[in-house]
Amino acid sequence: MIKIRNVRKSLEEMDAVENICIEVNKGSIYGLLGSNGAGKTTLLKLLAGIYAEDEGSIAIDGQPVFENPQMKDKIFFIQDHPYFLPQYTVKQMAQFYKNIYSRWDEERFEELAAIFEIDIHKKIHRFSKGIQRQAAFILALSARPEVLILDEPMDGLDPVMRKKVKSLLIDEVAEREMTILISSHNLREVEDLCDFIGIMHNGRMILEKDLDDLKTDTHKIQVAFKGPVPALFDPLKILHKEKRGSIMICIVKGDAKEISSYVEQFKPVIFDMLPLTLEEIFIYEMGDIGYAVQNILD
Amino acid sequence: MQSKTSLIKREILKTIFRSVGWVSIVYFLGLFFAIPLDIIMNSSEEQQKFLDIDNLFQYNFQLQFIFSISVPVALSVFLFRYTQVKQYSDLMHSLPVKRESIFHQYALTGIILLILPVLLIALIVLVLYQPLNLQDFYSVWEIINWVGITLLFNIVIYLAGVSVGMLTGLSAVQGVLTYIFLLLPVGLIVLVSINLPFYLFGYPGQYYMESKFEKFSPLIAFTQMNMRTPSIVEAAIYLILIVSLYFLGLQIYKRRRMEAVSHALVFPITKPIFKFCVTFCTMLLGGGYFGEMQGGMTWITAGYVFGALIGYAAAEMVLQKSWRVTIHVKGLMVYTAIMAALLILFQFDLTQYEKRIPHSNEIERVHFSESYYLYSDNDHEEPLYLKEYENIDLVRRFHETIIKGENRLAQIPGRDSVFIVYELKNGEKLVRDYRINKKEYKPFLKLIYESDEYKMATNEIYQVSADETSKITITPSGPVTKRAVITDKGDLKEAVEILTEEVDTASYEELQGIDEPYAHIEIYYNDSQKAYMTWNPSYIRFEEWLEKKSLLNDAKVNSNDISYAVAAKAKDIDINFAAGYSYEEVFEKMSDSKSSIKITDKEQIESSLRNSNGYIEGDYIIAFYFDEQRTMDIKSYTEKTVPDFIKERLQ
Repeated sequence: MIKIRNVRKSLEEMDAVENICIEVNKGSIYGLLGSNGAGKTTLLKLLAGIYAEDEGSIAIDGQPVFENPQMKDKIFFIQDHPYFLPQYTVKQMAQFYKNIYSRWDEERFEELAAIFEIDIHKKIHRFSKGIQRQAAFILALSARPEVLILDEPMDGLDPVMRKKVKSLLIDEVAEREMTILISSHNLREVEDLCDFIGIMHNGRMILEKDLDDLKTDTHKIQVAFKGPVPALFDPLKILHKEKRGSIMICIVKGDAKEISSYVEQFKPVIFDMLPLTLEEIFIYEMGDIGYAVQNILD
Repeated sequence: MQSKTSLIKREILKTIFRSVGWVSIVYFLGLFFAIPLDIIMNSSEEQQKFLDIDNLFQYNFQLQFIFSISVPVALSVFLFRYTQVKQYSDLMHSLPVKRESIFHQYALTGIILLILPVLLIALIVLVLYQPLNLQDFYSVWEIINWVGITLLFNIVIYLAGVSVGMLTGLSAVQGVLTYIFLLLPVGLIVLVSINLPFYLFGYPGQYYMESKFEKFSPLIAFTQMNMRTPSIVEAAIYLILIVSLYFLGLQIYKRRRMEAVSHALVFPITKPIFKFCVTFCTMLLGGGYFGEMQGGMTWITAGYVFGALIGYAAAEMVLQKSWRVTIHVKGLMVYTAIMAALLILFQFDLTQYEKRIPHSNEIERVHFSESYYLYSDNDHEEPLYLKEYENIDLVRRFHETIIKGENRLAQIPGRDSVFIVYELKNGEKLVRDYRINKKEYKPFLKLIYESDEYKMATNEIYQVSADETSKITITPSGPVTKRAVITDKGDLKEAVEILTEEVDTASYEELQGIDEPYAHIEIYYNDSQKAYMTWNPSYIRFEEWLEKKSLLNDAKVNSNDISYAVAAKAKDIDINFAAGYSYEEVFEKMSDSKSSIKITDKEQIESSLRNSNGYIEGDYIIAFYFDEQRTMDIKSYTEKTVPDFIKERLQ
């Protein structure tokens, strides 16, 4: 659905985004990770049609976004610091968007306002940062976008609110196949939400992964043998290996069943397959690009 | 659903009114205060008698002027805030609305917000028109005129603000640049007029500077709207400006990169242009200032270097948004190279500007005087023109000699000025202005000044016919109340004849004499006309005639008017010329000084009077005490002119 091809964008004579290619399928949630200044916001603004790309192409359903109102009508962008028209109340903001976005859903707006218990007749700039962010979510979801672009959306939300927002987003995706692009500098914040993640560093995409694959693909095994360790590990794709006494701990890539049936052949005394956290996967997966990854794990 | 895709979004208009509607309201209230309220306050018959008003601009014009130059710029700044604040810009530009559509809605609504208050005020004045008898002052047409002119100016200034706003990413810069942009045409004319004479020998900067340059800036042109109505051509130019500025703004906006919000200049290409334009202007300003104040190539060059450096640094500060900037030396060097090339180019005089003198047979007539003001001063009648072939040829030869002989770099102020305007037969004008040392050109000047044509043109007495003269008054120069009056028919005729003869025979040297005239003469003739001239000390025959008629005593200051005089060497008296001085102070100092002498002998006073110069700067200073008005007059002598007895007594 979303196709970003070889996109380059320079800001102030420096490349903010370089040679980026992303494809996002309809109804999926794509997490854009990276430390500050990695180029996430620039990429999102390109996708939202605020900036024009210098090179490459950005298309949703085969159509360009920049200066294309028909396409932008299906996209909603929430900035990293939500911004509203000066002196507007939530209600006035809703009226504004209702006039601008053709798919605005007034019922949904009232429903969401009730869920979040927000006073829609109060001027938004009087709200605290967290409430302002909730207001932004309410307005965005009421616009019924096909693509929702969120720049650091979880900042300033308390854990309860985070959970509420996340489940709303997931519902929306499940219900009407909305596509979400979400940026974050923290993996843990979005790992339970995203299907795909891409890690950016210095304007480049250094890694793109299907999280489900990643989780089913990488395993931590503990084995112990009587006597010397057989050369059983050679055919396995081992990311990491360490020995604690007679127990060996390995991070192995591959299908779980294949791995266990293979190891069983050597009759280990102990053999356990343990689940891995996403964090561990990243650490083991990418030793080299450590810096970028370290940052998003903090 | 149709309305959703239409060009105009109701909610966008709403947000415009919510954010800048107040500007329009403030403008309305201001205009209401300035015009209708003023009309109402001065509506009684009694007050209307004293009103001198023939158009709407004349009600509190200063206020109207301030509104017209500030409201449109303020409106353009507040209206386009959304392009200058990053988050606001991101919000607006993420909406499914084309930039073109956003621009039209904002810019046009802005125009409407400017039009509404003016129309409302006009409507109110129309309502008041009949009941308050405003037809006694101006017609309804004047009200329409006021609306038209005000709107033309407001909209041009507003759209200038909008277009400039599209170039910059900072509201403050938008405001400042708008005013610079609006003043730039006039500023450049002034700066060039001041600077070109340094390079184009004979370039009459003042002539170009004062020739209606104010029309080139809407801000300055508006200051005259209470006195004149712009011509159709001017109005048409403003209309063209309105349309072109609107579309210029739109085109720039469409190309604007939103990521450059909060940069002083959004388009990278405008940065060097801005930097070098500022440098160029401040350079001209610096050079012009020191050139006018001090003169000489050293001062001018120093002014250029100083001005250019300051301008360059200031431009860098604006662009880098900090006063602690690193100066890009490379750019400065490129600029210096270009300026040097330009300077060398001027030396070649490619257009032969400096050498050009029209042929005698091309010239219809020529104006020749010592100052541009003698040519431009319209209070007098037509400026002096020489038409006789001989005189035209003299001026030409004089001009030729100047071009050959003068050092163009010595064009410093303080020297004598020569202003020449050739009016050619084909209708063109050739204007030149030079600074020369008059003494070096005495042969030419003597011939011109002593020519009949020149004398006829410069002396009013030639217009007087001796028979038609009804009265002559001779007012002595000095603090006395006496004056001589001639009314006798015969005397009048004689006096006019003698004075004409005196002027006829006056030599160049006498005319150039710096002595104070003895008296000012007014000749009344042809019922109501009046000729004016001065009685120069060289007119001895006139003095003799006055004596014969026993009018001399009243015609000039003499020892009878003076009770005593005090003389001193100038160096003994401490006069602070720089800080200013009064005659009373100087007189007191002279009286107190031990080295001064007091003169009471009438004959000595008489001879002291005769040789004195009418100004205070000389080797010897003398103060005459006038009894009648209990006041003093201070004059001076040089070493040469000082009477012997004073010199001796002051030894």
